[in-house]
Amino acid sequence: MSGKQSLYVGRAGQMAVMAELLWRGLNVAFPEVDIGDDVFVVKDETGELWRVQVKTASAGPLSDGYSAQFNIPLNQLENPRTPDLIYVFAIRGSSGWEPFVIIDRETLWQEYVTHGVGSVSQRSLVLRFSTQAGRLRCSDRDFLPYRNDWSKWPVIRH
Amino acid sequence: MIEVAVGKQSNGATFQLHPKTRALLESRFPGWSPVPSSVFVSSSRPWDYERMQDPMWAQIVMLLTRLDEEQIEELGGFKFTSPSDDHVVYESHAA
Repeated sequence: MSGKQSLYVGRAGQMAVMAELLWRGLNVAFPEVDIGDDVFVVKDETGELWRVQVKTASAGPLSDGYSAQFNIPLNQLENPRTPDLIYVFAIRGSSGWEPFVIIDRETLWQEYVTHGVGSVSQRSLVLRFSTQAGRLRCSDRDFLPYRNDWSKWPVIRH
Repeated sequence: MIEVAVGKQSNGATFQLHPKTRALLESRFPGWSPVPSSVFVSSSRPWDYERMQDPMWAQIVMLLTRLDEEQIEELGGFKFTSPSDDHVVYESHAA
């Protein structure tokens, strides 16, 4: 994928995630200056704020599913902050967006350190998600609990 | 040894158990869970470790682990590290 195409795909993933968050009744914003956060999510009623990092990839076909690969800088993954970062992985399939994979930074760090999820290349963690027969796996770990896990953001009716 | 990761911010610092420590506590103390999962110490100015007075280090470890001083010592004490550069910010003398 060319660099220019990556920009378009990345922005499309961000917009798809923002659309879902808006539908769920949360407010969203782009930081004016890109310092690593992709989306700010705000619950208007309480002022609660979440920092969301959207990672987008195109799905590669498997016999009975698809796979997608993502890179996460280790520096970002290992660094606790308040409010902490939540990763949303957006996978574009052949006919539309696949279910999002939502996992907070601390949990993903735990998966990497204690369960060896992913592989490290040039100070980045490379994650490869694969779905087959209704399962979602990453380095042989079951990631199904993270699929479309919007539990942090239950739907708000205004 | 208990390891606490520190993330410096312009408005304070976030402290969180290293995943290896979390796994250690889960295996050592059945039923233990990481609550609170992090502690944020607020500051009106960019974070400086000089702001941490001696008892505060142990107090943060106790908050994160819910262990008492004796239990912490049995585990070899504690250290605070900055994951971004693997720098050891503080190490207890119990180790």
